Amino acid sequence: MPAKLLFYAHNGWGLGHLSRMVKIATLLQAEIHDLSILFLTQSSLVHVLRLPPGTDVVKLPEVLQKGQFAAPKRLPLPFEAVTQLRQRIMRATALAYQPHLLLVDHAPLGVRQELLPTLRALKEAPSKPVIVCGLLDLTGPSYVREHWQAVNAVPILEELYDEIWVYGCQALYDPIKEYELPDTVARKVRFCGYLGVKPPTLPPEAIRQELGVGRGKLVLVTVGGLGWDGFPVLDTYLEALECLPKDLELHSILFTGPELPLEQREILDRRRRQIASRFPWTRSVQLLEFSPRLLDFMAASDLIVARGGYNTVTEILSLGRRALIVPRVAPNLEQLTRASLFEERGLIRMLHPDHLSPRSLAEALLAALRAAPPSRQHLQAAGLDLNGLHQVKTHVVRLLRYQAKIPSSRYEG
Amino acid sequence: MREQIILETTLAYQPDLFLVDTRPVGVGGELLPTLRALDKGQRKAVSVMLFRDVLNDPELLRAQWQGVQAMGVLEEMYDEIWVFGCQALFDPVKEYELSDIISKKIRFCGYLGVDRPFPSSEETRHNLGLAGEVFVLVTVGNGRDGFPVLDTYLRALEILPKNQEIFSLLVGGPDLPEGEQQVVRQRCEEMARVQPERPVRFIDFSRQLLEYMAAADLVVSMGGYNTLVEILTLEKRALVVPRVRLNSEQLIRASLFERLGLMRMFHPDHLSPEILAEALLGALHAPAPSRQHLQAVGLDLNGLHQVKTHVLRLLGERGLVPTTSR
Repeated sequence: MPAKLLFYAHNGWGLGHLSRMVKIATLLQAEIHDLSILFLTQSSLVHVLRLPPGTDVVKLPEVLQKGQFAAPKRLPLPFEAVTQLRQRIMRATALAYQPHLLLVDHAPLGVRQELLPTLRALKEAPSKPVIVCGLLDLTGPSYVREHWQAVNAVPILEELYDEIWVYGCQALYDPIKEYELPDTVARKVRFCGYLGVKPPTLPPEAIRQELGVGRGKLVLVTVGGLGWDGFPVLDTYLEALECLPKDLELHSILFTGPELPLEQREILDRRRRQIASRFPWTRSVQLLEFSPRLLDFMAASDLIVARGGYNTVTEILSLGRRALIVPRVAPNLEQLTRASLFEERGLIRMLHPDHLSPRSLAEALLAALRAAPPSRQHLQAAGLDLNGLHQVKTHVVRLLRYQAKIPSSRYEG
Repeated sequence: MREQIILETTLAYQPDLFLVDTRPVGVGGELLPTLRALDKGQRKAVSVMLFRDVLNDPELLRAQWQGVQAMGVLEEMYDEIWVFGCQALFDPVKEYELSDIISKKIRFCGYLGVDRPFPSSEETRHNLGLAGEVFVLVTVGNGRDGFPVLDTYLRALEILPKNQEIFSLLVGGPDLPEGEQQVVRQRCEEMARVQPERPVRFIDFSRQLLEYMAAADLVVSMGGYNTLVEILTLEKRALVVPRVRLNSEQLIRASLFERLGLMRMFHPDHLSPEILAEALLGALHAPAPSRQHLQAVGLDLNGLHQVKTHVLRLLGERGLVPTTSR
């Protein structure tokens, strides 16, 4: 019988939470034999993210949550009816599956405390699962303090969770201090480091050749996940291109995300054509919705302009690329906090969205392109550990061993 | 686990109507606890079984059903059975020897014809860069076992008389194995070089398949329910090579339509490039099936509308009166 893992991933705002969990699942499946991973998620996009073998999904009916507002996304039923439905599906799934480990992403109680019945049922389950909460490096401290207080998360973490894995570094940001976690909870925290990625196998030169970028600079602009609020950054970027020195050869790839409204896409497309006709030799622009090869393109870029989401920033740094970050400042200060933290240590450059204009962006682009990309030594000196995926694997192996579900690891190290 | 998830979802959702497609007991009997629970619930749901026109070879189906006691389940647990076909063309009551209790529950809905507007053929042909040449669409469903059809079609093209100008669009389907996809793609490129008067384009998947079909002069396909119904709704000439392995559903359906003169069928075991080439020429000279022809043979394509009517009736009986947009 394989060891069984159950993952709960709620994607509220974008794809970040889910793609992070898929990343973790992919590494675990590659390195641990005979492992079953089941996702509980509402996202219908989960298959777009390419699930690894040994992994499947139970899809929940969708709900939307924005701050205090919450409503079913598709079913025209009362919110309570849909959360009831979700709760019962999750609980029935957990009980029938009998996992050895439950990994809950980000929200210890789930959406509107929907995880409670499942957590309580699993406490009594014959498979005696270890229950783990995975947390980002940081999530806007006041937000966490207030939100966790409102839902009474601390007692739940004390009572029902065995461990808390933080995908960040205590030296950079200490959630124990910032969220004012009591000792009883602090004791459960394990810092894993950032969930860095491996560079693609294709050499950057080959990718640049494929994109038709010769000696010029390659800048990649990505607004993260679904892209429904990415327009200001993309639009300002295209305007900034026109303010740059004429002789600078600069090629751009813009990723809009699948949810950019059509009218906005048309505006961008018009600007793109305008630039192509004004600078036929020195400035090409590609406008793409989404690509499974985003990482390849990032690795070949001289500079990446992005929002400040955890996944994107971590990817940029683990590929050793220059970054110009325009963080989101709503619904909480997570991205701003993260971007400021990394900027202080000279790892990225940041442009506050309030100061975003074609001119300021053009200046920031030029400055960023002149600076050296962050080196491995630099990352180490700043105390940035990007080995989080490996740490997570080590923790999983440890817990399953402890449970006597001893999986053979494909490598020990 | 599936059984538990289905049961718990149903209990929490409290449906008024439970529609089950094709398999009376689900996979491996997984639906039984749910059907029983619905039968006993305080607010009993109406359980409806949905069948395609043809499910399988009658003998095989009876054997398969005996194993899972499907007849008993249909008698006891289902309130109605909706068949997406026409009794005059294929009668499951007779073919599958259904009991009186079961046959009383059956409502024939007609085929689920396509119910949406298309861009004009001219527009699609224009987008494909076509002038007056003949347009043949070759589609093999999801593509899993479609390679032989694509391959034979390409060979048939090679032996057609040189003066026949044909544009062919081959759609591989999402499950056409990678290696086979490459072979077909290469052959298409090669043909475009050797026979420029007979261009062949290959795409692995398209959301616009119906638009292409609407603009085509002839469709070469396998015999799945949806494809054949789409062909008939769009009144297209068709050469059909049914799947015969695993079960004979497609063979029965395609033979049925051939007997009615609505399309031509070729058993894959007897298919050769020569036969297909000849059939291509023959079909292109024959008239396409007309609305009158479909009506005359008793083919009803109004299934979707019928389904809506049945749903409204059942909800009405439960005191739910939904407002409709038409």
